[in-house]
Amino acid sequence: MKIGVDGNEVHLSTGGRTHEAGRPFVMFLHGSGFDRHSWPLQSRALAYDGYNVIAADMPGHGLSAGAPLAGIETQAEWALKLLDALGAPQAVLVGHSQGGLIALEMAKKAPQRVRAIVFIGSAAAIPVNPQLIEQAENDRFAAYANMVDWAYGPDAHMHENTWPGASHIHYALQVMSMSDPLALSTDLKSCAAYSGGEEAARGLKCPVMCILASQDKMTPAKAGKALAGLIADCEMHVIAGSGHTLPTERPREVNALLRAFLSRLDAQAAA
Amino acid sequence: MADFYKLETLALHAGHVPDSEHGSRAVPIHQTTSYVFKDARQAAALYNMEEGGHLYSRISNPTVAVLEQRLAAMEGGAACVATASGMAALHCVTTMLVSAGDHIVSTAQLYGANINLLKNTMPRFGVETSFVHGRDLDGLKAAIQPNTKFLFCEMIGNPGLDVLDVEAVAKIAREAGIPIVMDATFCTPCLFKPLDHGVNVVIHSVTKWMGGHGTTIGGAIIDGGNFHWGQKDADGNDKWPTLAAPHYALDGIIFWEEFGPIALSQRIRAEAMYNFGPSMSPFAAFQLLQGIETLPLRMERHMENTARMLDFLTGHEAVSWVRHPSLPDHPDHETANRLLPKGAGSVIAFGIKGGREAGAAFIENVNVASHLANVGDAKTLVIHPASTTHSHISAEDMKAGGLSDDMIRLSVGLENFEDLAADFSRALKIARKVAGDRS
Ligand SMILES: Cc1ncc(COP(=O)(O)O)c(C=O)c1O
Repeated sequence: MKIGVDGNEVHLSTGGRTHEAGRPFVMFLHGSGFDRHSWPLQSRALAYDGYNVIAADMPGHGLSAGAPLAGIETQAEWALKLLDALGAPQAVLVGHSQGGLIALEMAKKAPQRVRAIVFIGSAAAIPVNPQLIEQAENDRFAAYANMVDWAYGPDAHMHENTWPGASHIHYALQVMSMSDPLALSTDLKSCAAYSGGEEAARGLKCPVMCILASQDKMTPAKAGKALAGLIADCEMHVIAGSGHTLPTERPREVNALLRAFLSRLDAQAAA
Repeated sequence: MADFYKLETLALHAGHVPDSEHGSRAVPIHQTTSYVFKDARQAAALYNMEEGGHLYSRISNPTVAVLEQRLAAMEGGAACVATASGMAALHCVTTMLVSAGDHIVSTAQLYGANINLLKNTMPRFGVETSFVHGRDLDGLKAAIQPNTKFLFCEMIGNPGLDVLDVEAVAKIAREAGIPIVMDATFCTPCLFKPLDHGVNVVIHSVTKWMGGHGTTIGGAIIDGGNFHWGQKDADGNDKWPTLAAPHYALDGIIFWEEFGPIALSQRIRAEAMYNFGPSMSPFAAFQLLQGIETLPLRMERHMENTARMLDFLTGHEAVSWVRHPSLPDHPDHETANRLLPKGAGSVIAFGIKGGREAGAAFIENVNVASHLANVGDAKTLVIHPASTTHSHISAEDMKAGGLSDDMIRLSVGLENFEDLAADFSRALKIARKVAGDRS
């Protein structure tokens, strides 16, 4: 569906199901240079579980209009406005990589809007190799290839896939190619510049789950464990053998963890 | 520098990681129609395309999926759907992209059944195709109409062996905002990767070089993921409503919105595989995978023997003409050199002095080469297209496709070349005698 935020059209997937009043919201936040196509195997599953799913393309990504937003803080403000536009008082945030930083910042700015957070392949800080940023600015297709190379684990490099017939590598390259030419470099610079993660993590009061990958070369599991260590109410899981792109590389494990976490939240809310 | 596995490695490994329980190194044959659901919710989820997996082998199968993922990997495609034959692949792509009232532009230099599907079958369903010579770039451009939904072509036309300047054609298609669907059977990804040159969807008859052993019919559709299916027509309607408008099932899913780069392949699975059912069997997929493992090696040898065969035939006293894109007198020689530096395929067309009878004498007297209706086998194959593969094609279309009555189509195999040359020498001698008797 499409909806306006700050005068720009935002494109989002609701997982194939229209939002219904009274259902809990789950907002998916994609990583650098990606878009809503990070979440095909979570968005439909949770929508049909009964959640109001929001898997949006950030401005300048995928099919969303406007220039890519610079700065994690600005991106977090935008995501909160998207919640307003959709009439979502509160949501569980599921952030992959850079999306995790955005979730941290959303919780800092508006803790009452954040019911819980799931960090996937994320950390409190995501330093970026300056050469990669330069490449994203000057030769974006080469940068996409490098990102995709590092973002996927050994099985994905062998084109093993739970989705019959699909190639992680070539799917991801096409997803990245669809966005504004400045989307990736803007995202990488936003990650590199963001320094508020530790403080935001220490301040988190909501329930949190961290899902990490043992073969993650982009945000190593070590950095994810450090993030988990800063958070009061946090459960942590490391998925062996997966690369950084857990939602599509290991959808079964990720969805099982998501479902268990969401059920516990719902049970607590009911109690 | 990004470091992805290269073609030879992908041909052996892509799509398959040994399972943790048995560790089978070869790809297991999942000879089953169906798969036990874990619970009711998972059953619903599989039907609803919420998660990956298999529910019924008409739609997908684990062994077939390995083949699909291997071909996607080798072609650089976002996804692949395997089909029961190469013709099923073209049929599925065509019917998922067009509806009654739509139009296709195609190059005229095509395999006979490809021509027939577009020229004779599709019009009965209200879909017209304009055929234009692949070298007539202005003509191709002029043939595109507001209702044209794709441009179809073969990289190396069967059996005329015209090579398409696909980069020039891709520019025309891009400017017109329509996708290119290419049958790249004669190249295989070892010689040419169409998606790197502006093509959007690749189809293969994997029956041919891919399988390579003449045992198994199969086809494949590789979805490049590099086309924007959300474009509107001049009236503001979806130009490809099968992909950009709600589906009749799955709660009105919009494939382009949910699946983006793999929208077309998912529509093919959800509609063509569901409703037509031209699926590949797991055993066929296994056989084809065995072939693909050695494809890069075989293609090298195919090309080596082809070069030697061209030397042998050129200037042979019983041969009136030889056509192959690598020969300087071929009209697409320059295009072939530019786009196909690894070789322009292992099919050669040649004429035998003395016309039809001499041609028949040659074909009936080869021993090592086999007279049959296939190309791309490890074994050398010969046929007379005018009386066989293209006998359903009108004289006019034959001419447009670059075919003549005296033409022999030769698919060069992997035999010891001395043995092949001796076989051909002997059969050509007999053909020459027949030609002499006639004159
Ligand atoms: C170029 C080309 N395309 C398609 C086909 C059809 O393939 P199949 O026989 O696998 O249906 C053939 C078969 O001869 C072919 O040569």
